[in-house]
Amino acid sequence: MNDGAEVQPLLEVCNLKQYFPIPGGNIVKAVDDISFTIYPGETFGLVGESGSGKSTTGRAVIRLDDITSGVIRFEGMDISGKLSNDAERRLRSDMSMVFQDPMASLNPYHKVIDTIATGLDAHYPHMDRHERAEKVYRMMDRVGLSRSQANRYPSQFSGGQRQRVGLARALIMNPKLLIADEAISALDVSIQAQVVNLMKDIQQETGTAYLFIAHDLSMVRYISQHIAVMHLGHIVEQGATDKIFGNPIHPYTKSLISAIPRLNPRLERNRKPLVYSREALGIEYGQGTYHVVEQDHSVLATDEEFDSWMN
Amino acid sequence: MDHQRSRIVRMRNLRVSFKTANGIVHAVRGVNLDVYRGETVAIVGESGSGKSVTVKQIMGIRSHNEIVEDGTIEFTYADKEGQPKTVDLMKLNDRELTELKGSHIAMVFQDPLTSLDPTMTIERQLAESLMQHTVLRGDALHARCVELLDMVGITDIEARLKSYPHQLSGGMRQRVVIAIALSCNPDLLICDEPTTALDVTIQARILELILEIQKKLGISVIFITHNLGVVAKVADFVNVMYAGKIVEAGTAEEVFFDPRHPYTWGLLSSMPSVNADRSSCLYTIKGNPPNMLNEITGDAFAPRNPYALDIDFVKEPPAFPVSETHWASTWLLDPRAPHVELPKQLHARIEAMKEEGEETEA
Repeated sequence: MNDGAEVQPLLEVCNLKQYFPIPGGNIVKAVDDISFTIYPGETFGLVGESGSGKSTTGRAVIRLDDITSGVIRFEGMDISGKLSNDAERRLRSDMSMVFQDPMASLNPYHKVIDTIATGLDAHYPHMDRHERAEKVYRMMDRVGLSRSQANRYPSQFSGGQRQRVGLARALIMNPKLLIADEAISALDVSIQAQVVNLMKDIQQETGTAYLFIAHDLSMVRYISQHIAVMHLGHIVEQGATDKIFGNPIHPYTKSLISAIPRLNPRLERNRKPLVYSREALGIEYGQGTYHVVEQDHSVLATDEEFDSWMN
Repeated sequence: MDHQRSRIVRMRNLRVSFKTANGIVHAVRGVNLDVYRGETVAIVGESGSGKSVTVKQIMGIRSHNEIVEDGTIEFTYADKEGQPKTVDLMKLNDRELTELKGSHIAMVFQDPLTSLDPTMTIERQLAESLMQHTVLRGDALHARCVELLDMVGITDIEARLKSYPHQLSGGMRQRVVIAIALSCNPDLLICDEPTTALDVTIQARILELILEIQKKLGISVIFITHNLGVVAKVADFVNVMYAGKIVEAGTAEEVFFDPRHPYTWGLLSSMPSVNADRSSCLYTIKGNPPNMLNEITGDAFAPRNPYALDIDFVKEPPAFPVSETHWASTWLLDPRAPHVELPKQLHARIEAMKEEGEETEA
């Protein structure tokens, strides 16, 4: 299905389910049977509205929650169950995460230099002090912070700079996979562009793969090679970015794309975005199977739905 | 059209500062703003540019460390006898302002959950301002509540009236907040980032709703946002704000298709568009917004401006008119300034936008 079929996938998620019990004996199916694959060095965008399960997916991948069922493989190794200390250690430096709120994810009492060095301290506790500082400085250069800011506290930085600190902390161990959970949503437009460009540059340099979780489709389109659209715990459509945007099949994807405001007053004033209602269309995600639309593009649908959408 | 336009807000030279432990923050540095009846005025800018502080002056919402240094806000409305009356909102006392708030000026905030009272049912919250400003009671009051929720597109109204805010979804809550704001038929609705906390699909619906209501009721709207796409959707007039000043203002078409201020160029270029080339780098505005603790000399944008002239660092540019409705405050518009072309990428984009607009019109 993928053009780089010989390339060993970096991350494989197969039939991942993540259910949470809630008071009253009910179960929230936050993520319900999703599968996707991320290849080394690419950016995989996960989009959907709030409550669609995209953050839960990210948390499951980095093992913050115990998954209900399914298999997650990282470089061919099953990482969904209990792991040996050794494997866990390796994994922790190979995968890292950047969170949405840069203020809440940084310890306000730690200097930036110590925050960024968190990974080094955990994995190389006996590292030489100068070497440690040198590594942090190099990382700061790379994310566009000046070395003179190393001894400051998070409160002395602006939002965009704090997000750079978070990025530096995540990248210091040279991870193979970086999970960015709404990492730019809290930032201003002009700063968003800076951080996105920075992430692109770093990817080109280091070959880190990104799992980019966001609800802003226009930014996701910009940074990702592959996109999966999530709704109510299901991936309703996934494929190469250009194919998803050029030829969306699922009505939910269409409504998401049409909801992005265009930057054009003449066009935008009279444009009516499509409204998606699963109930009105009678779509049951549980009954659908994945249909291949074209190479590298599939959609969740029943046979009848698929036929009617394709026409 | 200009003959019938009646002005309802005339803000002049508004200056607001904040006293902080580190010194005085000059948040708003001389803002002029006009709002006409039935039109939507958008204020765009980054966080910290002073857009919220500006509109909060209209509502008289101030924090304890806020200092209003200067400025007048003239508000024109029809008083109880239906006579047009103009008052300076900055000079009113609390009681007089309370009279105006709700009945003539209403505001919708960013986060619908924090602007609703979690312990009150939707009906009580709707009725609150109606009881304050109108003589409606009992059945008539209830009927008005039903009518309001119907107007904002809420279904199953009777059940919704009895629910509490936490039982509603984000989009639904924002609809309720809008219904409360509209309850006393205000002349002016101020929307402070009303859709920022919402999903794109919900955002689109709320924007549709605001546009529709505005058409139906003929009210004026001040719309604050940092999303230029939202501006393109709702605004008749656009004010671009940077570091406590409006740097460019004009009709939506003028600002989007003929931007003059380098900051507006930067803003427009840094938005990823749905049909732009993905392989190229996103344009970014270098650097960070200025620290408003410091006194700013010259053009506040100059240090981040690749087209900055020497004078930008010395003297503040006045507002240069471009057309009757369009002006920008940048020295590049001075007749003595060297001619600067629009950045190529942006130029191409604007041309594409114009074509796109014509296609859909045809």
